[in-house]
Amino acid sequence: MKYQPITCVWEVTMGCNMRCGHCGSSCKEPLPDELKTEEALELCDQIGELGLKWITLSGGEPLTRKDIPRIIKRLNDNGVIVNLITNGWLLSETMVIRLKESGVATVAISIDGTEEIHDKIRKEGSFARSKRAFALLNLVGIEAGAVTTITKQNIGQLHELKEELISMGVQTWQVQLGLPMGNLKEQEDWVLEPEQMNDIIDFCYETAQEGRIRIFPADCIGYYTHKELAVKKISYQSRNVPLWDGCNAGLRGFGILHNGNILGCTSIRSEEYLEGNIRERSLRDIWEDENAFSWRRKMTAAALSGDCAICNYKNKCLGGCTNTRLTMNGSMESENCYCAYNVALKNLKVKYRGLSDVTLLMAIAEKLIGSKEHQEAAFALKRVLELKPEHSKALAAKGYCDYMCSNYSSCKEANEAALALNAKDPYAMRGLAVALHKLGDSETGIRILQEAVALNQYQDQDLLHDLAVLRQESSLPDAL
Amino acid sequence: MSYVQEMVAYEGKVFQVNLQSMLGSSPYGWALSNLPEGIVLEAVETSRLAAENTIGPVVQSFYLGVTAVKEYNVKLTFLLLCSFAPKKVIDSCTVNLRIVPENANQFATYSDNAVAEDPAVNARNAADPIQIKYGFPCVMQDSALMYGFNCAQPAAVAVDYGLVDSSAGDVANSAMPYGYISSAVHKYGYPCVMQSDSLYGMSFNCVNNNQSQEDTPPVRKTTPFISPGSPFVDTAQMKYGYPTCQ
Repeated sequence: MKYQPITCVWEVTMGCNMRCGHCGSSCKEPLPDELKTEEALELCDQIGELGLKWITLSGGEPLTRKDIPRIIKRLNDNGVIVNLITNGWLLSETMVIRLKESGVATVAISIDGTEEIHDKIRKEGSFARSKRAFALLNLVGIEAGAVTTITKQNIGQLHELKEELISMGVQTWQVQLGLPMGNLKEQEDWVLEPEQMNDIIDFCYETAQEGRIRIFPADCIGYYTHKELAVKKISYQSRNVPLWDGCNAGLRGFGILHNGNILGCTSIRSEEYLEGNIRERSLRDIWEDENAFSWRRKMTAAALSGDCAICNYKNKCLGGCTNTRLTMNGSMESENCYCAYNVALKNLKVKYRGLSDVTLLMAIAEKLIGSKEHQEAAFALKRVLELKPEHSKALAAKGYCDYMCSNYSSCKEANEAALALNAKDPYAMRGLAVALHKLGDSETGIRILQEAVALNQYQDQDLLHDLAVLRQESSLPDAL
Repeated sequence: MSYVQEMVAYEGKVFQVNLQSMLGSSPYGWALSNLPEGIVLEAVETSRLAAENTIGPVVQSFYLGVTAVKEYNVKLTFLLLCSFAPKKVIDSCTVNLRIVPENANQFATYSDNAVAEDPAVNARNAADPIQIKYGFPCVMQDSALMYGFNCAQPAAVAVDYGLVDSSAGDVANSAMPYGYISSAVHKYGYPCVMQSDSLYGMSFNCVNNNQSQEDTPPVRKTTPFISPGSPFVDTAQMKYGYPTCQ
């Protein structure tokens, strides 16, 4: 199996006993094509057979399904760790005991703010019920979690809410962005500004540092700030947390809808992204179909647009949360305006537009290169070249910075411009050669590098070294 | 006369303090008298100012590392003292060290084309054998690990180290003005090897009246564990780098 799924989210029903203002799935009554109990239990076996480690059951409101304890037990019997997300309304004593008996690992209740806000968004009395539910979960020994969708309605209350959750014995807390989808599409004034992302990251960092509750920012929050990495290290209780590799959809996870439809992510649910239905094909067949999840499995950074196209991290995150981009801009290839780095890039543009001292800009750029901040250095150098297009040193440095940011076309352009000023500049030749190699024209790259080597009378060992690596990587004959 | 200097160092990096003395030609040399929490002394190197002179001023280089620190403004005190009679302190130099936190930059350092600076963070990147990982030569992990010196962060040594010369208002790689003892006492030479003192648990008078100056090792030289100019081991990685920052 090329991709091994680890987890999935299963919306077991579209039926819900609440009508939340921010519900992304606009859930109301259960739909007639919902999986029957036997179908659901059969799916549990398939999930276990596929090797999933854990699953999140959500909805709708999953507890409105009478057979939910049976589903949990079946998953558990198949070795799958089960987490359940609920609005908490139906978490009575009896239900909590049944859940405990079924082997659920974590029950997370959606909490949207302190009592007043939560009840306003959800239902009168729901905060009090959740409070009681947390007490019951703690009593029977089920890990109690909270999930908060952050909007402008509650962002100012996060500190207060944190204290409430801690006092209620909540152990884990997932925070996620409220995006304008489902019911929230009608509440656009609730949707956060991109700049508020930093406030959320700061809040998560502060909370993680305190160590009183484990906070988990969802995949739509970040990316690549030191603070966010620190939060993950603390909450995952791991010293080695790698940089995030982008959306898991179709690679390590997938979604199941109430009717057995399989898709990459339950938030990306329009028909064109449905990969199959378990009533027609087995889950394994769908997962292993080489044409399935192609929107994610075949996604490349080259397709990205806006600032994501020039971003240093583009090959790492491929734009981050796909649903965020689809929801905000209607395109999976568009830039991710909620990315913390995207916000920073926009600020950098403004910063360097305001500087016009070439000497100062060059000094800044060199300092930035020294500290490996190639992206910002490229901004400074771009500004130098706007002011003085024939600045050969800036062209050489820009070429290098663009290379380090994987912006090979820009690297090529900068080095070509440097060579237009001095055709025998071995450094620019080298930059051009490696850029061409990266762009797929290794043959020309090797030829240029050979010229550079000859210009240096074969004295530059590094040039010779790079020439050897280019040959090796391109599998072209040494004779070239 | 004592000196007070300002200096900037980076958390997680090595920096260097250079002080000039007549150690070797005299028993007087600089010694580090305190290490604040989070600062470690990695090596000391003594080199002659002029290679051809056996007698004359030397530069004592103190290589210090900044580990995880809690206090970002600390003081280092160096004393110019007589090596065999440490109570004879004739001068001092205080370095007010401002430490730049490791995460001063908001974002994790990353490049598809660099060997990971932080193996823990970029583990996947570093482990991928098909990547081209060229950049500055010293970013090569193997050589860094072999010498126990994280050369992935050479900037602190190669570029940013040194004491700020307050008169010039600039960074000086080698802070020469200090400790130059102008009096005549330093013509003796200094034969002793310091560890003899501690081995025998007694003060060992290094000055041997019967010993001629020719028998005296002119300068106590230590082989540094680290050096910013250490050669790096070649690996099969390209080395396209930007020359001004090397």
